[in-house]
Amino acid sequence: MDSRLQQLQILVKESSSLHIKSTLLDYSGIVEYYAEDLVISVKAGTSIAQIKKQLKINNQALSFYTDNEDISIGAAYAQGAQDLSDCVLGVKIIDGTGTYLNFGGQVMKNVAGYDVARLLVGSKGKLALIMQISFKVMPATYINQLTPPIKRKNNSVLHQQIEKKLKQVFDPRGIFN
Amino acid sequence: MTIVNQLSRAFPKGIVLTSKENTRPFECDGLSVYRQKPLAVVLPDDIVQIKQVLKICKINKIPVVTRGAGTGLSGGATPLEKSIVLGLSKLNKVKLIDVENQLAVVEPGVRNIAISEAVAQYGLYYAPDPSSQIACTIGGNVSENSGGVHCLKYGLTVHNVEAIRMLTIDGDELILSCQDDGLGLLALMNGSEGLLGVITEVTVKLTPNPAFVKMVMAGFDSVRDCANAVTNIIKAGIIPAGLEMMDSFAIKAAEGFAKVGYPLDAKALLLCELDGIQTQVQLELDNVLKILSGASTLKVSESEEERLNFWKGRKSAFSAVGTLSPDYYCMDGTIPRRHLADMLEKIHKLSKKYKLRVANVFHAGDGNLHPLILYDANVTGELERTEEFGTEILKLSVDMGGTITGEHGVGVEKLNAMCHQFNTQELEIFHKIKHVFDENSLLNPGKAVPELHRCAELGAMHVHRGELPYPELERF
Amino acid sequence: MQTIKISNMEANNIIRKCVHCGFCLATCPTYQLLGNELDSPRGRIYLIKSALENHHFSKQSIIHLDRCLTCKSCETTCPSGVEYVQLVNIGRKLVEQKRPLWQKVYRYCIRQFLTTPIFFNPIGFIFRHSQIKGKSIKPIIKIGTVLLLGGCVQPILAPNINHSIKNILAKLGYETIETPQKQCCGAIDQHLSVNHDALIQIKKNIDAWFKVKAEMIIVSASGCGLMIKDYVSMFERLDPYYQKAQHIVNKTKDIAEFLADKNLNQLNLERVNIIYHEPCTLQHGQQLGGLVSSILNSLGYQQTPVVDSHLCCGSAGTYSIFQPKLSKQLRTNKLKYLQIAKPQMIVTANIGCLIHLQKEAKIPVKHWVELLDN
Repeated sequence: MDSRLQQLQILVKESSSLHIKSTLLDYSGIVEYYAEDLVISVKAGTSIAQIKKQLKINNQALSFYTDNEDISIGAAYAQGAQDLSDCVLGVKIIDGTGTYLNFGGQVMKNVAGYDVARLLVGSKGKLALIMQISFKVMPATYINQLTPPIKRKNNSVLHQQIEKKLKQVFDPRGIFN
Repeated sequence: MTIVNQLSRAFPKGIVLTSKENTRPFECDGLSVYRQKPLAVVLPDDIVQIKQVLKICKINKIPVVTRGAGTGLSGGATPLEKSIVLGLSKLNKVKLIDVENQLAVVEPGVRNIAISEAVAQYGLYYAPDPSSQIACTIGGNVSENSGGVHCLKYGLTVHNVEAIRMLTIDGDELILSCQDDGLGLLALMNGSEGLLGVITEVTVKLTPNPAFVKMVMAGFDSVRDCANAVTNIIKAGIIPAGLEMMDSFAIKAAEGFAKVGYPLDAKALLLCELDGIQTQVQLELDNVLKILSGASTLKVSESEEERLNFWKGRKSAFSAVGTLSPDYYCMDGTIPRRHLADMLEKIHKLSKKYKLRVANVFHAGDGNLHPLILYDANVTGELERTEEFGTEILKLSVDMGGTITGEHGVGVEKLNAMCHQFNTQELEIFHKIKHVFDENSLLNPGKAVPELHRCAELGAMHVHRGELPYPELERF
Repeated sequence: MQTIKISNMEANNIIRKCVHCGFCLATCPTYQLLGNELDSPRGRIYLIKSALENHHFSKQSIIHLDRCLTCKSCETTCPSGVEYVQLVNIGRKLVEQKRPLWQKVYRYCIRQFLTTPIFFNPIGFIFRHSQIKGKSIKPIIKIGTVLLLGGCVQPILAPNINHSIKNILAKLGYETIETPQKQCCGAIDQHLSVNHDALIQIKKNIDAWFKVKAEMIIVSASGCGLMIKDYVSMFERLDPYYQKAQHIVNKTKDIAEFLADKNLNQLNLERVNIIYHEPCTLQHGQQLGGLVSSILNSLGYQQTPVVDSHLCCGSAGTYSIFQPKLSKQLRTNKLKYLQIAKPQMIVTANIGCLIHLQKEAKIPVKHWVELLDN
């Protein structure tokens, strides 16, 4: 078992308040990359630039918009919008109780269980510690001009209530802020 | 007053079906091995009536099973004991077509293909195309996150839904858009199998018809060669619009119905569709033909009619297998593409072990397998053997790094297999998510996510770092 | 699908073929209108299956079986090859026992009215759709003789159809013998599940047609054509009529089948903008979909594709009489789609569809062969 992962699990278990940042994570690197399967799995602290560099070797690319390649993929995921969500295949997280959980995987079609891997896109570090993400990648020739996605606040009271309750599901002690 | 009486009183004639005779045809969906008669079937005409049904069910604490066309293959719409079936087939209007933004707003009972038909005049179509697209409804597609044969390039339902309106069990309306800031609630609803809400309206994204389409049909003398060809096409940097494979059994069944000229002597058949602008398609086509040069038969579609014919065989393959065997059991595991050939060989071995024939029809491009296990439900014990066989295939899928279901959903059918794919803590998260939306567990309860004790009984539970989770639970 | 103790082996085998996939729902006209599974082929199969398994069948199920048009659209769609209409006929026999008396009487009267010329003709004359147009032609050089099915209601309602066919055949060198009005093909009795009477009629027809020296039996109404082509299935293999029926069936051709390979250049065509309505009995029943269109195309008639062309117009034999509401809804939808391209005339290939559509259509509805005899 990955020692940094265990350290982070302990950290979460022992903390009463935690602000997630890439520097806190200190967890980076490409875990698996199968070009013929169009899939890459990376630790959340890996910079987007590094991922792109790796993909370029096989003439492949990420198919979502990024304006800053220096940020980590975890940060992009936490702030992410539709275009990023569209290519997420799986995610491994540490929830607010320090439990390491795995949702989704490395295959494009997967409807087993609720789509937590996409639910947490845009969770802004408030629900769980994102540890590892798997993405579908594309041959570079298939990627046209990428534009910034549109994001709007959903003002419905019910929507906000549901988001609040979902935070409690992943972070029952309310430690991520 | 019983709930059946309450419902009958609340609605005009013809909306509530209560007699045994009339509710029995609703006892199963496309997976007819699971059957359960509901207390009543309600076929509302509008959203106000849906709200009323939910209200009555909530007061009486009676579960509601939402149903579209009942074409699902995992028992997602199978009624539960003492439940109400809420059929949305009458809500079948295309409300708005927004050509400029390439969107269509439709009611949940609109058939998948009806959307494409309605927007065809604008040169648009709705991309996800499950084999049952002729009959299945968009509400069901969202609930199951349906795939199809064009997912590789154009995505699943989740990638093609712009927004939905849904009702919670409390009858409150929730509008979710893919532009919402914050959590991916819309994505969560896709594939939630009717456990979180009742979808009342879907805004789908439309795709412009490709300028140029070509289809290659290649027959192979060996399954492995065919599987390798799939990998090689993707490796070459080509994303076909569709990349489908069938084995000899499936080829024979499909050809028998559709009569489209599939090579009957081939061990495996590959259908590869390329679309886009003409120059690019031509380039890719040349490339693909080079990759497929080892095929025993190789044919490129020469007309639109021929291309559609090639698809017709593939799309009717499932049901056409019905001509070879009185019953079949359709699996839906997905594996990383690189393991395709190994998986097929293993299935072949298992077929001999269980003495059951298997026809393989699958979305090779995205590693989504559909082995159809042929059996006879009238022969005692054959269904049980079939299910055992199926479970082995699903376990293999998970062990290869894939999933138990790519696009058909868990429903009632794959509950046991879920215990193999997820550990207790993960399943618990799923239960808590359900609880956020549906505290009293009234929406399609017991489907999609297994109860923890079920997994414990199965003994298929993940053991986390040597500790057994929930030591207090009895294990059998 | 699994079945439990169904003694009727024919029904059992049909039901076992159904895999419950639901494809048939999509192309069933009544399911499209009503959205109720019970009014779909899959639902009706289930109702019949239940009835055969536990012998429970009430008036509630009669409604759903009665609503079936037997248009066979579902059979064209079904990839598992379920012979749905055969099963429905078995189901309908069960239904008849439970049918209320007033319905039985009503159905009897309608049946007698339509199939008995002395009752039908006076009323039929009043509602005549169209008169005979132009003179009769005799063949100049005779190359063959064919038997033309006269039909029971067609000669009174639209005599010009067979008049046109006789002229066309004459120009092609064929002499025509027409069957008398009393030799109804038997479809009306069959529709109303009076199989006994249908069988008597069918035997009479077979005997009569057997005596005629004609190389072919030509039918201009696709509904009658389908019925005749189905004669063999009415008899057991060992029945002496089985062989005879086979002989009749082999000789029977829809007029479109007959004309498809003939040189039609010498015919005088009526030049109008037309739209063609394909009868279910031709496309789903006789599986001859597209044949008439291709003939019309080759004669230079421009045609645009019709939305939902696979759906029934609501005529369906006696359906328009017993299910007027659904029938009208189907007709209105059909006419809407037929008239999108603003044609001057609707042409079809079956007397039932023709009369039914004309009731609501503002433009003339004709049999397509009438275009060929101007």
